[in-house]
Amino acid sequence: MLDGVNLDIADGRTTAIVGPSGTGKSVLLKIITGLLPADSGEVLVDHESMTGAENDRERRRICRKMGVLFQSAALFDSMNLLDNTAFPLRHSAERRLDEAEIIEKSVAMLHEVGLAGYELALPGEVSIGMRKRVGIARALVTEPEVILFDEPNTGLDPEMGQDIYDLIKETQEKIGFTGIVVSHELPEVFQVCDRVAMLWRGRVQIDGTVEEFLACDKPVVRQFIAGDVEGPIALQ
Amino acid sequence: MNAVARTEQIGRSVIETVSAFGAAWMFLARVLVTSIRPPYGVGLLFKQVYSIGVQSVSVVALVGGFTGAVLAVQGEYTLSKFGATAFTGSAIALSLIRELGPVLTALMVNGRAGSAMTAELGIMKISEQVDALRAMAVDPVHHLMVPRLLAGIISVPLLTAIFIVVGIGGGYLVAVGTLGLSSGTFISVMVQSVSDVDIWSGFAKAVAFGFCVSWIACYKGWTCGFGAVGVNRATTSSVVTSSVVILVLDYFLTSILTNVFFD
Repeated sequence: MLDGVNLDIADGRTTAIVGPSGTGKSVLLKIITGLLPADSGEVLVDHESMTGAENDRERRRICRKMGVLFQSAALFDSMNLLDNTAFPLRHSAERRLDEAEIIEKSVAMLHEVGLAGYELALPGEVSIGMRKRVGIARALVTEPEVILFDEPNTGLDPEMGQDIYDLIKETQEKIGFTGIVVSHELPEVFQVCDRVAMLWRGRVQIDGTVEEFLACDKPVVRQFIAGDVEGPIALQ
Repeated sequence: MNAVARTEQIGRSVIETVSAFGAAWMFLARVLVTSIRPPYGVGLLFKQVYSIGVQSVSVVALVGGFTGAVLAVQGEYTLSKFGATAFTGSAIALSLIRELGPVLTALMVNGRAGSAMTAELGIMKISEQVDALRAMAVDPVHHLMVPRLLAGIISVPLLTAIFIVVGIGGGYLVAVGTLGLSSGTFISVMVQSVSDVDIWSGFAKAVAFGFCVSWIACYKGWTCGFGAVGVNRATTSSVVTSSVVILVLDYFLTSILTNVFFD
């Protein structure tokens, strides 16, 4: 699926991984987070090897440096929004907060993402846009160094999608995390990223600033930017 | 289909079955090893005992009561042919304690809680909730499987006890209230005929069945395929496999326990 992918994600910056559907973006994200094993190669998170982790405990320790917003938000259906947000704090192996502090921090995080008053609602009782906001709150609540967003506006109407991008931008400016956004939606994703890497057929076609990406003259990149039907991508 | 293709198909099917069997044992080994590692999720365990055990009490009691009632009618009819209706209480109690209590309780728990467990775990898997756990550095085996396996082992014996008690009560009401048997005879013959070994063998069966139901339900949920079809297949397979395993295991356990304790 992936072949010779070499990406350097700058600290404190947001990198967008773009490309047509089925090209390996989500697989790359899962390899970065350790959810899928890599056949070869290495993933370094803050100079520590995720792929070379000696055991599950070690992998989980490195994992705690990252937060993930899944495509479907992946909230736990049986828990209310507050418990979903508090989950990583309650179940952290290095739990350092007492229950009152966890509640306080989770409520504050829900307020931060614009969900004040929805603490006791269940995921099934709120819109997909609100579930994504909770997903972002849950990813941010442990203050990880890296946050990965898998297709953050999938399933949302343009207005809600814009809301999510605004939220990512706001929190990035406020907290200053290192972000990786997987998306196939141009130009919306440019609002939140400093760099763009495009994947096609499992290979990185370009890795550069937004300006470098837009100026790239590779046919596959040009076709993807223009959204043309005809071109190398159509032959895939 | 020619002979070669048919042989290939049979071979593939045998390999798949053996692989699935091996994978189920590997899964169990992983759950058991994980279960001895801290942190011990007592809260999660209570939640599962509530879901599997407490929420099954009413249905188990209802089935138990009517099973006892049917045993009373059938027992009295059969024993009357030999002039032995005095032993109706004994027949009801021994049937429930040694056989019907553990088996029917396990089948009820399998139908109510086992299927729900598989469906819940399957949906968690396909909706990325299991991935979310791992991404949050939480071991899904520790968080999801261990409490369910232990809750099954704890709940089924307790539910079996309820089934037996309510079943004997149902049998008593029918035998004494409707069929006109003597209350004193019913109770005294029952107490004389039931030994500790009968109770322990029923209890051992209930533990084994509870273990199997939760193991199979967890494994089928863990290995669930994609989409609604995947969850549907996993749930059906879980219920059918557990039901067959309960009945087959019941035969072997009965044979072993009878040879060991009653010879």
